[in-house]
Amino acid sequence: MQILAVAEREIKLGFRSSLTYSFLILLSFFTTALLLLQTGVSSMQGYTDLTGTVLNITLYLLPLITLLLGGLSVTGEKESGQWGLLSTYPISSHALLWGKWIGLGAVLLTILSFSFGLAGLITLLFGQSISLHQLIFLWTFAAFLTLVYLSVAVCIGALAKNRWQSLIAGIAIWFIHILIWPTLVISTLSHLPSYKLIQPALEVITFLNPAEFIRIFSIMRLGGGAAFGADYDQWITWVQSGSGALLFLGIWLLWIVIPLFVGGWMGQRGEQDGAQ
Amino acid sequence: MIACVSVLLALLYSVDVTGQTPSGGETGSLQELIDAAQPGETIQLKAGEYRENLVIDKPLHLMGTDNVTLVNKGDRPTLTLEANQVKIENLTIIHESRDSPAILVLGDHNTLHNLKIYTNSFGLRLDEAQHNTMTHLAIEGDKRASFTERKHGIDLWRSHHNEIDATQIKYVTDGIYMEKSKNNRLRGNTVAYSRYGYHLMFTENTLLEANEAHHNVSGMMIMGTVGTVAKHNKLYNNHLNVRSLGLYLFDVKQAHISHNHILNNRVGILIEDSQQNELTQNVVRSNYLGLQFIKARDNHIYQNAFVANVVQGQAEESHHNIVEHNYWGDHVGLDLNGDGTSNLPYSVDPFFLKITDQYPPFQLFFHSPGLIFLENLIHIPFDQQLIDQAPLLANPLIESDKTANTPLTLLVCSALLLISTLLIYQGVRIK
Repeated sequence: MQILAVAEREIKLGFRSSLTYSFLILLSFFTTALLLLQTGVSSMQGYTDLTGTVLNITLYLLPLITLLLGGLSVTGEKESGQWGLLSTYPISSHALLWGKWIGLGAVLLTILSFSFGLAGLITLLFGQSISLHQLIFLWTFAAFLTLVYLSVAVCIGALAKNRWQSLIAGIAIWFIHILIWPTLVISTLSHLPSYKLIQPALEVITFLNPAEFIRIFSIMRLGGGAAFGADYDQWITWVQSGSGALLFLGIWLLWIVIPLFVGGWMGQRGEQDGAQ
Repeated sequence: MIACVSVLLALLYSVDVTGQTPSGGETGSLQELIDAAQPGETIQLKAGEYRENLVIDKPLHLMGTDNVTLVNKGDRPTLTLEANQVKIENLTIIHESRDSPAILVLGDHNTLHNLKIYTNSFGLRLDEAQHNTMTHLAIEGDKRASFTERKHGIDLWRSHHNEIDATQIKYVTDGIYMEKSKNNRLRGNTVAYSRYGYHLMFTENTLLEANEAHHNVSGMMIMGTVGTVAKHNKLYNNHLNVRSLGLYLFDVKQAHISHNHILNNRVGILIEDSQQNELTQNVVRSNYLGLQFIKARDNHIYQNAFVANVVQGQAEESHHNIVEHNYWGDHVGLDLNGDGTSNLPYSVDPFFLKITDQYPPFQLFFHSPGLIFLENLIHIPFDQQLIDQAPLLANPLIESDKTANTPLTLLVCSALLLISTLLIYQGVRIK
């Protein structure tokens, strides 16, 4: 119940924050642009270069927005002293973080739905066609991405001392996960002693980057998996099976649970340290 | 195949067929019947197994029914056509020899129609045979043999003006192999699970139309030819080997390649040592490498669509090729004068190709957002890039038209907007 109370408070604060509405405007613009870009691509075609471009733009923008919004929401309260006030209530920091995640998640998914709905209507008003399948696929892709990075953001917020720290940590994670990831992985894995180690190492490392595994899973679900080469044929087989989807969901949930747990645990330790 | 033969043999031994051939109830072999026939005569074969090989040296019409099977365990061809204007229809042939072809055609103006051929060797061989017509054949080789142990489905040697239509071939070396042959036409054939689908060597004016090749090492290998026309063919899923190709032009001159669909191959189109060829209106999609030039010059590539290939193209030691007005799925163009072509040239950065050629596992970074960032950091020499000076902005060969707007899409969008607005409203009102 505590969790829900925190979540409700978060939703209230979220929808009254000007930051939320500036992100709403930004997202609406960007989704409209994406959908207009997607028009003319028939749903029969499955994965195309354009799908890749659209996924990439989403990958550039959404994790960054989420990391900033989530991190600032927690550290902002720390700076205003409300966090300290909340700590005096009989509420565990785990419950606090889960409440924040649920509340902020609801706000973000609402923003996402608003911008997709608006963008869809605008696209239709322009007389362009969009396939429902593509629309739902994109929304789901964005939602999965948002919820994972929100968890990471809340964790960052719990660990950071002030807004600047959380801002820098958020940008650093975004930079590593999105921008520099292939460079980093290629340059390190090329130095492995045996060529045969590259693929298993890469497979393991991919699960350390939620953006990357959500992207790969999505492309495979769209039937574009062959582009990854014969080395990953087995992946394609399990991704397209029911158990593959379950495994994906499992890893995705781990990526939500672990950062929140770490954040809660470190936060608790911080409180104890502060009490001593 | 062998299992199939042994079952048939078991059946043969269980039925009393000692010298009896069910051809009109007469005693004597089918060959004797053929020898006794007058030129131009039609021989109707009754259902049954005929265990012999035949030589036809006069114009005859040999007509079987669904259950007429010729079984040949000997070393000679099951059917040898030495005459002209022979017509063979509705037969099943089981040919065990690994050396001689199941059917050897030496004459001209013959017709082969609706034959099923199970062979351990060539299905059909034309040796200096002209103006023959082959339609609705089904040729199947030995599935378990390696490519080197198998032979070609149909093999043409110095044979001109022949037509091969609606033929299905699988488990052979090359589906249809032609050497030093002119003016042959291949239409509506399918080759699968073989080494090469269609293999042309030193041919002239061959027409390949509406054929398919899939799950082979390579689809179409066109080598040393002049005046080949390949149109409306579908070459897909040819990726059994790291060097698998959809369409290969080697030492080819004046070929016209148009309206083909080349999908899911290792390399879509490779043009090597070839010149003055024209490639247009082809769809090259989802291959590892879309279009590759090696020492190619003076080729004209226009109005094709290259979509979602892992690497769209590459050029090595190639010059004077005109590559323009193609559609590249990943090109972000800018049309300043409204002529439908982009004023920004399209060039393929071969960086990803180099990386993944050396370390194939890194192909997992296909279309990764960070890869684009990395490509911009590393400079690749200009001469290794494939460049389209004036790429098209819209796909001229879009496979299906825009999806119709369903009211459902409108409904979903409106619902999304409405529900989220309500949520925001409720959220603001929380006390």
